[in-house]
Amino acid sequence: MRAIVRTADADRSASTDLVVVRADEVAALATACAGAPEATESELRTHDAITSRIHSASPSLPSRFGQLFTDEDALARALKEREESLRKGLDSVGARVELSATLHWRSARASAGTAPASGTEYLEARAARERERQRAEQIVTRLVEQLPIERAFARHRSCPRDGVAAIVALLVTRDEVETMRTHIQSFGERSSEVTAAVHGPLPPYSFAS
Amino acid sequence: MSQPELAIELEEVRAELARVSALLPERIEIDPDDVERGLAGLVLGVVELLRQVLERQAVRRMERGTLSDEEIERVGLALMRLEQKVRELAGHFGLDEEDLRIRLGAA
Repeated sequence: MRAIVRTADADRSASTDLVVVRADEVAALATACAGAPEATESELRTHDAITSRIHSASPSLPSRFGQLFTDEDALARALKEREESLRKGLDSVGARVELSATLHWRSARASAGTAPASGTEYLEARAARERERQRAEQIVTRLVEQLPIERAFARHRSCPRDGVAAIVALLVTRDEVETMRTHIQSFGERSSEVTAAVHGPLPPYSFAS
Repeated sequence: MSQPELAIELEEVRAELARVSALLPERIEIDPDDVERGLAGLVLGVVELLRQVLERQAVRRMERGTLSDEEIERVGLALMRLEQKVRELAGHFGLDEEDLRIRLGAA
């Protein structure tokens, strides 16, 4: 599946390569495929290009890569079952876009690449990671407090990988994109702990479910 | 461990469980065509979630100084081996860390 749109928008958002499955108020746009696609860079880029194209044509809820249904009937049943929550999601999220801010540590701790040699070493490494996570949480709180945005419109993951303090997803209107980008970049420039890289605008992946 | 210390420990575990339970999804989706893998992901996700709760508790106790060196080594070793086993079993079913997290929310 690629995205959910309002039924009234389905024809405008669809293209010849997409299958449209309709419920009363919402419709799913999907691509027919023989099996589960591999999560290769090329496939991921293709998925993003399709969801972006749909989202620029009309309000939508983009699907995460790899959501599979055995056939159109199975998709129609799933759509019907979740129609009310999908409709509400489209109303609250569908017309907005997502900005993604990646906060990199300025000085990252040594990678925990080598396996701990003892139970003590293991627990001490976890303690260090927990302290880092708490620092990351404080930084995200400070960032979100400084942005002209409601807290409900920000989601984040702390320490998703080595060197990254957090990835923060922000749900904004298209008019707010540049202002928000400037605020985030300014935060990164002023911070002694992290730098900030902003990606997007993207379809609202982090807020679609 | 004294009674007040035990009460604090229990309260912390309760709070941690309340925190992670708030992250659980309302629905658990298991693909009917892949029940074995779905069930494995669900069970391993629960085990991993509980392991993380215990790990945080152990870290807190270590930093508070309420564990002896011997206890730190023993608890650390148990958690490390449990983590290895969860990963090994997850690999057997073709699941990665992300799969376990998707089913149970980011704890």
